[in-house]
Amino acid sequence: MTDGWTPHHDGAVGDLWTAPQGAARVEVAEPVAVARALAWAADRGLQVQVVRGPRAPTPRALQLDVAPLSGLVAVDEISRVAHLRAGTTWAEAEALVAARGLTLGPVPGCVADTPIMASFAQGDRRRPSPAYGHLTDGVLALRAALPTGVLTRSAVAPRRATGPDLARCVVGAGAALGLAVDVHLQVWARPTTTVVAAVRFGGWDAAHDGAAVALGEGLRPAWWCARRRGRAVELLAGLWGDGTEPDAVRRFVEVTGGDEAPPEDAQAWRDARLDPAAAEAWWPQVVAPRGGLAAAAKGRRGVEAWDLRQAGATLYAPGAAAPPFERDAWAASSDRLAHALRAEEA
Amino acid sequence: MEDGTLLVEALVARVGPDHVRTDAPDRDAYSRDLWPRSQLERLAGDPPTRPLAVVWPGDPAEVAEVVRLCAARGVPIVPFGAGSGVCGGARPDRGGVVLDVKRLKALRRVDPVAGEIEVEAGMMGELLERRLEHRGLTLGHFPSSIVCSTVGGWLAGRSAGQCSSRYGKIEDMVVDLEVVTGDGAIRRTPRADALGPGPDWNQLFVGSEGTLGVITAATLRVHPQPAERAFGGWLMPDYRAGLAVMRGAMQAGDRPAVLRLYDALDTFMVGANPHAAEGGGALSRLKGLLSAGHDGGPSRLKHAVLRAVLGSPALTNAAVRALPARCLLITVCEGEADEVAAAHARLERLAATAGGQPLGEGPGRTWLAHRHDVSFKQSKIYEAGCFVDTFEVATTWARLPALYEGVRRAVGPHVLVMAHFSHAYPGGCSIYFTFAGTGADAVAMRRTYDAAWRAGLDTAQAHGAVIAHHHGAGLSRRAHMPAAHGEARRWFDALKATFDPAGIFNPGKLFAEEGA
Amino acid sequence: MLRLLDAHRHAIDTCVFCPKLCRFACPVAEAAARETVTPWGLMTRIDDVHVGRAPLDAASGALWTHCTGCHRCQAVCKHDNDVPEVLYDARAAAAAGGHAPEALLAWGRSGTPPQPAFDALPEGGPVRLVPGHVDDATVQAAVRLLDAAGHGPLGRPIGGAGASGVRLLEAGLPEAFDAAAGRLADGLEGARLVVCLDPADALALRRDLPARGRTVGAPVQHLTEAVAGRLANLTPIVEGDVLYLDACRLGRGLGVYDAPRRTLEAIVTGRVVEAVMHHAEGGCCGAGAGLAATQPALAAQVGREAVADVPGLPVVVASGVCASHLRVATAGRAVHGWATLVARALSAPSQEEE
Ligand SMILES: Cc1cc2nc3c(=O)[nH]c(=O)nc-3n(C[C@H](O)[C@H](O)[C@H](O)COP(=O)(O)OP(=O)(O)OC[C@H]3O[C@@H](n4cnc5c(N)ncnc54)[C@H](O)[C@@H]3O)c2cc1C
Ligand code: SF4
Ligand code: SF4
Repeated sequence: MTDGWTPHHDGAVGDLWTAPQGAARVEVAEPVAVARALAWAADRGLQVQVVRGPRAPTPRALQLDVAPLSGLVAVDEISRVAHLRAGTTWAEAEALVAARGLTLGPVPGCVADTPIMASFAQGDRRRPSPAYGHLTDGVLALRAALPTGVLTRSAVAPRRATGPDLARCVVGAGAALGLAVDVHLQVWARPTTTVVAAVRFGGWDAAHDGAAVALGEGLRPAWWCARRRGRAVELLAGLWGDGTEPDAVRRFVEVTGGDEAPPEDAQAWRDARLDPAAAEAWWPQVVAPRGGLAAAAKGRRGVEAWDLRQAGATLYAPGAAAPPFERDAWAASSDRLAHALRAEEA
Repeated sequence: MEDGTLLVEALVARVGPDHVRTDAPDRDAYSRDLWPRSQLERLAGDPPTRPLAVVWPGDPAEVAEVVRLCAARGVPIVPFGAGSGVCGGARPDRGGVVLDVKRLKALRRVDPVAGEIEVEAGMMGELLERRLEHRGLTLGHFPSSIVCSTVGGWLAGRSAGQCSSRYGKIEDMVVDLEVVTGDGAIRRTPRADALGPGPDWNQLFVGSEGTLGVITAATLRVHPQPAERAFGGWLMPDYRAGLAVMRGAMQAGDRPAVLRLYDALDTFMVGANPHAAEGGGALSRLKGLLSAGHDGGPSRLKHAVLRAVLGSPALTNAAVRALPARCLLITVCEGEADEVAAAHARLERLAATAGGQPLGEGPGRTWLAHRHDVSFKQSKIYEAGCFVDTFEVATTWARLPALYEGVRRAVGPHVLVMAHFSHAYPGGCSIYFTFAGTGADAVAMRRTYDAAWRAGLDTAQAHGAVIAHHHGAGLSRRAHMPAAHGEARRWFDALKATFDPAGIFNPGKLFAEEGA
Repeated sequence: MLRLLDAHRHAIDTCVFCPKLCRFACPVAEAAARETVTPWGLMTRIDDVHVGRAPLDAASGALWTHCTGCHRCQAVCKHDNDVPEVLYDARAAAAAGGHAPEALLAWGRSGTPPQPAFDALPEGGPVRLVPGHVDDATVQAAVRLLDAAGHGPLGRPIGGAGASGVRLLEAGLPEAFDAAAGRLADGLEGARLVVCLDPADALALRRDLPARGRTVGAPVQHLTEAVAGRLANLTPIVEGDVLYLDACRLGRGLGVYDAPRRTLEAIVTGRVVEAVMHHAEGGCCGAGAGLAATQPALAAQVGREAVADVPGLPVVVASGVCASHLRVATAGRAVHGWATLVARALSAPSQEEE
């Protein structure tokens, strides 16, 4: 245990550690323990942090150590749905499904050690995959613990029309509206071929346009990014397949309309981004509209455009922590919503 | 109704006398949507609950004014698109004001480069799609009700179109929303690709069925008109074989626009099964009655036969079991040539492996050309003194067969039931059940109707399925909503407290009110 | 008079039980944004009144004015329901009960506007002109066009009736229509060809009159049909593109779509542009079946919406009645009646008349 913690036992949450300035820490092994811990923190006005393993105390925060709440509950091989406990990290989860010949899609190194629960709480946008979506997409069911101490339930299905998608309350809202405790995620057959294509363009916006054309033509790389290379901008793409598309790289180059670049460098990039050991934590910085990528990238050194969409793209940069996003006009609503959730309990 | 008069005067002052109506024909027309139960109630002579007034604000600011006026007096507001909802969602059961959104119908922005449009909520679906088509674009959203529903209604009910496996459901197309909330504020949700914190507001307002606010506009993703289409049709040995093809395509990452599998009876009814002559006499009669063109006028005899066939559902459903198990699978791939060719080729491989007998392009082309015809049959059935309704549920591929068979068994004693599988995803699929029945009179029909619904939803829930895939919950599924959501209901209540503190937005929909 | 509706029971039932499948097509419902005035809503009220669930009163009478008789609904309907036909009988019931709006009845009875060019024609002759409710400029243009097409000399119907009286039928005054149309039919006896300038009259003489047991001996044509392919020496007089709007009773009613377009193509330097919906699905100007008289603001809105999707271009419509209405409705947009525009493109010698 890291220094500074004192062990305790509490009637509501069981064993916990505390430290000065209202720091607390509890290990949760069961969904219901998350619910209890959330209620406990809410009663005391503590922030909740989702962590794995010991950390130095954080003032006025409850560290929820979710390491014990990990593992693969079940895999539905027919529907290709993995039922995972939300304390599992993405790297662990991928390894668990890989053992069954399945994949969650690419897991960038920067998210590898993040628990699923934390990614949902953050609204994690660090895996913008054209083929596999964001990490928080592809959810067939999400069970959550509420700060009122109870657990929700949900049928497992690809889509529904039974009112608002209430489980989206926990996506991006920190722990204020609850935390995911287990999730049913779409998984896929592991690719039999993975190649990297590299295509050069005259600038950021040309690269973005090339990517947009590829999307329009139905190409869905497992991952891609645009990065500066000298005066050019290079579009790199991870093309995963089942062997039915032997000319994947050539087709990608043709469709995007740029110049093919040497792949060796691309491979090194790929290793750096997708290898958990080598990767830094990359965070999204700013969303640029279509045609505005060059302007957004100007003056930002070392950025890469990761989330290339028809309508825009997002620039990413390395850093230790998520950038402090500005609270928008909806922040007051978030607060009121969290308050209302608690008030009902009262 | 002193307060009502004052409210109406205030509404008139804000939106103009032509846009507030309190006369009987309007209050009657807006006392229901297309929930078939309302039709049965009407036939049974039950007086509907009529709204106090119908209001047509002309822009978001006027919507906000209406909301403030009603909120101040605690008068319910029922947002109303085109009233094509089939769950009673737009029915003013608590009286109050029906707020018709359809004067808000501007196509505010079309941006083909970004692949986005901004459109107001009252735009009729077909008119939107035609305008997009005129510019070489498509939204890709083709519900069978596209001719009679609005963008706002789609969003409010999580609608699905017939090409959903390529373009997604409406919730998958949303970039952001403009909504008027209970405080009378006009607010725009953060874009789906924005990076700020907070819950996923778009997905909380989408599907809210008028209970959290009035959707006044939305930014939606659009696509170029497809360059190519490939049609496929197969007679599969049974429905499980058909499901294997659909699943294989979706799990391979392909996105065919249409994957549609009819069960044995539905296959028989659409007439694509060359072996169907083996089908039972009652079923042949039924098919004859319903598919003899649309001009074959009504007759007492035809009506009596239809009532006899639907009046003994147990026998008729038993006849279905004697039908050959073979099922029609229709596919349409669209997009750019390479993608279409690859996806269609995979479907051919999958269908061959699963024992499908190829039927060529015919069934797919016929379906595309006549896909709205089936909706016209509804009138014939009601005119004969019978009823018909549909309900759609969804689950994972693994649970689909048990769900299908379970629901068929459960509703079979009450009504004739058939189904098709459509709206496929990598993880699962929806089942669209159509059921038809009758009774000695309208009251008896309503009893049978209720029994069929209850049996269907109970069974779906027992199988762990979601009880609605795209029609919404409204009133028809309200009794099953607590079990569907469990403690997640608290999120809904908190959303209500946050965005509708006066409790005026479509009260009693989705969930029964506390104490009700 | 409610018994008139008995004959429509099947149509009423199919509409009442229909999930509003023609909802998008009804221009009046779309402009009013109002379910009550959709074909489904109109027919449901008719049903309520017919079976005694609702009273036959002024509210019903007023409601039933909300239709232009455009038949777009029928173009969509697989039951082929003729909603206006049922509605006109409902209007008749309202009129008989004293519940019809005065404005509707007055419109039904309204005479043709001053038409000196028509009055100047001799009575009788092989080709007779029925100008209907168009202005004198249209009549003048039509006379020139028919002349250029080799149809002269033109005459008036004997007795001088200049319209079929179809407005009476549409307003719910069927007996008055029978009398008026009968008078016109008498006046057309002995003709070789009858040419109508208002498609509504042509449709009434070709469809409604025979349906009510009376026929016109000679073929009845709309002006566009009568001159189709017979106009030589047309010179392009419009720079750029024009938007062509199908008049409902000419297109869906008489099935005339291409002849007026072909003629237009010869007189514009650009293209004849189609609206988002055209031909059998074409939009409606909003003037028909009395809507412009009973609900002028709504009728104007219908007109604006018909041409809104293709902004800027001059509009051409082959009905003088539609053209006049659209000109007022769209205030400021160039709207041409087909006849006057094409007549301008006839090369000399008659150019000095302009
Ligand atoms: C023949 C037929 C076929 C159908 N086929 C399909 C299909 O293929 N796919 C499908 O998804 N559905 C289908 N439906 C169901 C129905 O058309 C859809 O639910 C549609 O989305 C409803 O749209 P609407 O504009 O008519 O909404 P309404 O019926 O007017 O309203 C539906 C609900 O949304 C709320 N609402 C409406 N507009 C707003 C707004 N602007 N803001 C807030 N709340 C609002 C209402 O209060 C109500 O609760 C079908 C219905 C019929 C009759
Ligand atoms: S006219 Fe036809 S499509 Fe329109 S409501 Fe009536 S039955 Fe339905
Ligand atoms: S004829 Fe035209 S205006 Fe009249 S109900 Fe039909 S579509 Fe509407």
